[in-house]
Amino acid sequence: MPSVSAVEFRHGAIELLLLKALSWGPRHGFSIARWIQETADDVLRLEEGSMYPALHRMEDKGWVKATWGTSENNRRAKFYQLTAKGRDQLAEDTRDWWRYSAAVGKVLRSTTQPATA
Amino acid sequence: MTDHNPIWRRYRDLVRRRPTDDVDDEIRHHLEMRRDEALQAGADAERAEIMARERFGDVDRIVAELYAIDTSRERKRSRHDWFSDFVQDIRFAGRSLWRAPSFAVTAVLTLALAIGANTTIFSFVHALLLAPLPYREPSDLVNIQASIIGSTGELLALRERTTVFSGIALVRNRSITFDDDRDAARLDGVAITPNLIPLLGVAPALGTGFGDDASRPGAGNVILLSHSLWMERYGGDPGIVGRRATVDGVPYTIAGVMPATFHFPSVSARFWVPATVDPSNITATWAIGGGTFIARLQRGVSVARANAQLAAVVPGMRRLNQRWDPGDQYGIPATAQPLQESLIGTERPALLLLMACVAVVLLVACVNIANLMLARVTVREREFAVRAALGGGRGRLIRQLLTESVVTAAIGGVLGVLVSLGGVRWGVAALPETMIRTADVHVNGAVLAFTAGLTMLTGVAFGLLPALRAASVGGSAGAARLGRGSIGGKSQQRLSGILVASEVALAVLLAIVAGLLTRSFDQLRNLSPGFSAEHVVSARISPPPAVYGGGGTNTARASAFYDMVIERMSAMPGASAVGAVDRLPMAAPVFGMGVRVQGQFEDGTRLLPLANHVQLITPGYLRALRIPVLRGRTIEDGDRPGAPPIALVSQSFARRFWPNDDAVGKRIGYPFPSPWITVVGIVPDVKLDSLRDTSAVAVLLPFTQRAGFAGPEMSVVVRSNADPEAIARQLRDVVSSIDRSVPVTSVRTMDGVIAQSVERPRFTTLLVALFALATLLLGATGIYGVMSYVVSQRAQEMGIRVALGATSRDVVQLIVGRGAALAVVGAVAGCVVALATTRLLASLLYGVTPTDPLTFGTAIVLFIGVAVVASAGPARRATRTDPVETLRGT
Repeated sequence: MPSVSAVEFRHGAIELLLLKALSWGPRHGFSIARWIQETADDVLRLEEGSMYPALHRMEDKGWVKATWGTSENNRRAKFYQLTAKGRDQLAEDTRDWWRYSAAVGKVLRSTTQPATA
Repeated sequence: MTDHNPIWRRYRDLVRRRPTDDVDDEIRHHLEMRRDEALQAGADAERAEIMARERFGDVDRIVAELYAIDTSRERKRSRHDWFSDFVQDIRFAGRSLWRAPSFAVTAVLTLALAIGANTTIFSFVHALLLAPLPYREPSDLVNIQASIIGSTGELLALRERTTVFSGIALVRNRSITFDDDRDAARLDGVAITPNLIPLLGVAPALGTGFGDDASRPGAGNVILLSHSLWMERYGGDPGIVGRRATVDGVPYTIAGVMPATFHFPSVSARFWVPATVDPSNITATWAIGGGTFIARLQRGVSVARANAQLAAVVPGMRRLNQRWDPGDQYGIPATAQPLQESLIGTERPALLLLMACVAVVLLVACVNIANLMLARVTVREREFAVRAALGGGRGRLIRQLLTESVVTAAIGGVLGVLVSLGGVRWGVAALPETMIRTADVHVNGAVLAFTAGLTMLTGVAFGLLPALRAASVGGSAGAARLGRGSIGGKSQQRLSGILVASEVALAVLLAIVAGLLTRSFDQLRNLSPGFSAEHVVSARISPPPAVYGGGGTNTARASAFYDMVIERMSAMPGASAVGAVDRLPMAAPVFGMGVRVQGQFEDGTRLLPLANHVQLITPGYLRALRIPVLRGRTIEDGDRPGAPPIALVSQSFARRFWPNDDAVGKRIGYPFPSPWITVVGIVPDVKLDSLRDTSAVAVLLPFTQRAGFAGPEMSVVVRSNADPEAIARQLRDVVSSIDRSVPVTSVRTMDGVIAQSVERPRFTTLLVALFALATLLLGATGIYGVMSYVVSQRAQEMGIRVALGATSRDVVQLIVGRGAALAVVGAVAGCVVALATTRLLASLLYGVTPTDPLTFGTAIVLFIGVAVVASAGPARRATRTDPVETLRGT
């Protein structure tokens, strides 16, 4: 199993959230932001702007594809949609996340003192 | 990304939005949504805006980042699109060529030959006319061209009196007998002043070359070998420098070997020896000419400035001559010609003519293929209409078809390069070795670049018209007629007609050029040389001057040697006459000399009239070449040293000096103080320089009474019924039985000698005739193609005509008449172009004017004939049209 460094993961965390948000179907950027905000009970207050470069890079990587459409209040909006590749990525990243958080949890719950050098 | 979004792509392509606009829209949308949310929650407009931006972060930074991401993606995508379109076009081209193999093969082969011919000729043009000479700063090298004698005295005067040159060298042709103790051979090369090699900016590959004092008398017994001679004689032995060899009977030291790429002045130069410069020997300094002056311009000096100085200086050198007065025409004009031009001089017009001819061949090939493609446009009408209907777009369709023609051209180009590899090899082998720089002719990078460019151009040239035509066929008009039937038959016929007529025009132009050259060559070949060449074999015999040359006992030894050779050869079975001459007609450079004429021009210090040709002969020479003596007597065995000196003169000579008097018995003399020579007979004018020679003021002197300065080299001529091979063998045996060290070279029949003298024009004529034949065939297939098309388009009309009672004869007349009309239009146009251009050929023509009516007329009649023959097939097909069938077909 490939291991993932903590820094890499933190970078990937926003992408994971975006992939998850899109797993319910095509959404535009604002609707993704609102979903994350509502679902995370306002705990994850990410800077909304930083989401867009991540989305565009994911488009480059072929995880999502974009189409222009009309939003619920009749405005022209850019909708993102998961591709098959994006779906695979979501599955893989989710697995990694759980491994990561399990590992962190195990460490935090530990009761043994480290051996002195 | 494997799946595209056609709607989005279409939308994007349609309005050509920039990626930055999309980013702006997207971010604005987000901010507006947030703002609306805040407004609904009761915030005022200003506050709502601030809240939205706060949640978002640094808008400008993020937008900039998005621009960068999207722009780079867009760039990648358009590159990818272009490339995938390109790949698609190539595959499309491949498929459609594959589906029409006969068209593809015809087009590719035609192009391969035409491009191959262009590449071949361009290889020569590049190497001989364009590529700089392989010397240091070659554009500064000049050849001083002046009506001077080419003596070392003049060399010294030029060096002293001019300031525009950084160096001046003298080059003089020289033949030597080279003996390395194993084998003696006669070699051609040059004598040079030692400064020539540094002047050119080259260095020997082996050894140090000549020292500066090598031109001092007595110091010059050193020789530089050409790379080829070194390989041939010494197998490339690197220890050769300093070794001894015998040159003309004198021991020489081998000073070095020149690089393999050094061919000065031509490939036939096998060695370089120092030319002796000895101002204390007045005769050697002023009386021996025949040199060429090669000079390097001072930095920054133009050819024009050099010319001005030469014009001011050279005529004044007349007074320096301490031997005789060279006359008031001396040194006029005197110019400096760029070395490259002077080396290539006479070949230039012929090369340019050939280049023009192959360009015409290629042009005709293009027209022909364009016509084939046009016909195919009709066949593929439905395909184009479908493509257009499916949204291919006019530009896209043109691009596809151009790709198709460029791919065809590229295949033809690659094969053409292969053709040219063979062509260049053949051309180099067919050209005489003395032609300069043939060793440099290769299909090199520059030539390939030319061919690549030419190929692309060709593809566009023949593809553009059909592509435009296809686009208009495939346009809206075509879409409406997807069902059936043909479009634009009439306009297409007109277009094809114009193309074929222009093809015929170009072919007629080439046919006229070929005709003029052929007629000219015929005239040249039919000129009588003034002697009988059949059954005569000649060979150059070169006794070493150290033993046979000069005066005194050597002279007697040389006479005895030739007496013996002639006597033994005369005894051979079949031999009817054997003689010798120092300058064989049509083969050796002519030798002219000022002569004194008793009672007319007696003062040797004044300008003397020139005898264009002076020959030394033995009595058998005139008999062997069947040159009769018109008056007086011939040279006899009794005309020996000690007997009264005698001469024969040509009719022109006699007419020039004694127009109203009998020349026999008159007296002439050498330009220097010497006893008078009595004219004892008159012979007819004989062509000596070439068949075009008109300078027939000639003197013939007995070899046995020759002056001391004459060399011992002679050409032996044998008239015999025996096989030339056998005569050559006998001659070698006879000579080597008398003196093993005397080389026998240039063994040829006299017929061969004459043929050789016209080899260059023959070669040019042959090539042009070949190109003309190629265009004739292309023109014929063009007419055939367009007439076939006309017949197929008008099948219905033919059916109706036949149904209404037209006979086969009427139908044939209709079709053939149209073919002939095309040919007449084309031929007239070709003649007009020819009238305007053939005068450029004047320098290549002999005995025929550039507007020779016979040639023009023949070309026109020929092409009308070709048109009739080429239309006959389609016409016959038209007569077989079954009216019922074609009418039902509508």
